[in-house]
Amino acid sequence: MKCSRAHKLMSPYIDGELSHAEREVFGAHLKQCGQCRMEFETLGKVHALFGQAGKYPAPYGFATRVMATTGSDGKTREPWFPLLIRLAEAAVFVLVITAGVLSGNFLSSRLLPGGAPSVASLMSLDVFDPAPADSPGGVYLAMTEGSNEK
Amino acid sequence: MAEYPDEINLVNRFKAGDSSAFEELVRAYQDRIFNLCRYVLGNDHDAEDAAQDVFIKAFRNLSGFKPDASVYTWLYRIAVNTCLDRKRKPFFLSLFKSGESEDGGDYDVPSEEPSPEKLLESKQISREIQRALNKISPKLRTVIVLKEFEGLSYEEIGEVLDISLGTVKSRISRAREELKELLKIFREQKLPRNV
Repeated sequence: MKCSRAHKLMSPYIDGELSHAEREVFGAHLKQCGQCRMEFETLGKVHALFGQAGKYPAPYGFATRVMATTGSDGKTREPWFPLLIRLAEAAVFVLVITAGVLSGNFLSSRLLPGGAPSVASLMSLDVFDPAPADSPGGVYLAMTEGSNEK
Repeated sequence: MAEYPDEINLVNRFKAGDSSAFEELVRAYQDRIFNLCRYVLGNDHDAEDAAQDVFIKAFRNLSGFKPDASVYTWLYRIAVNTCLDRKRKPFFLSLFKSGESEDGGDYDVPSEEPSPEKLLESKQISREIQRALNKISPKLRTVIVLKEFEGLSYEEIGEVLDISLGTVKSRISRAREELKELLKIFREQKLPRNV
């Protein structure tokens, strides 16, 4: 058996999922291969650790709370408190976004001279000063205006 | 995996209108379902919410349950889907929920009353395992929890998750490999620097 095959059989061996024949072949390989033996022992320790870990029992009163939700009339009653929490979370999210937008608007109107510009004025080209005549932009404008007149 | 001795009778009683049958079902499986949810989701709060959801869904659908499957694989399937749905919830909802706890959280004393030393050791190991489980993907986490804690066979895991035997074997192997590396890293981090 090759080591690559033996690696694939390590977990099934630990979990008792190998056939008798597979166990025999796997065991024979481990006797010959020190590296696979070490690897197998390490995986075995991981498995053993789970065996020593505790299990979590259901909290006290769990069954009573489930039965209170299900009710004796065969209908389930959605517990309102978790639903309220979810609605509260959504409301807080919307409030945070709205507060961010409003505070941004407030700050810009206080800090900018003349208050916050309107959206229409921001889109207008009038906010730009005309290019000086001796600048490349000014020369270009003079050239194009001259050709337009022609 | 040992089945609840009379689960089919419970289902038949429920279908006949006996509501106490459902309470018996809840009490029979609450620990296993909660334990699964706790290790997959990583904290008590989400685990209790999810476990309650599982039984509410079971209550709604038990009338249509067909006896060709076992009740416990059916319940585990609901539990796994419920937990994986929670892991996929929208980002902004996750901002307000408690995250995965690194430690074992509140740990009730098991009914067998082990010694204080054993209890402490068990709690520390639970904490270590949970920390490592939190680092692997939910798919691998689910399959290794079903195997190691719930004791399901590979075939049963395949039924619960609706995956092939080959996929079960592959996921369990990958999960153990990843956990092996993580646990090694955690233990190395605990060693004093001059060792």
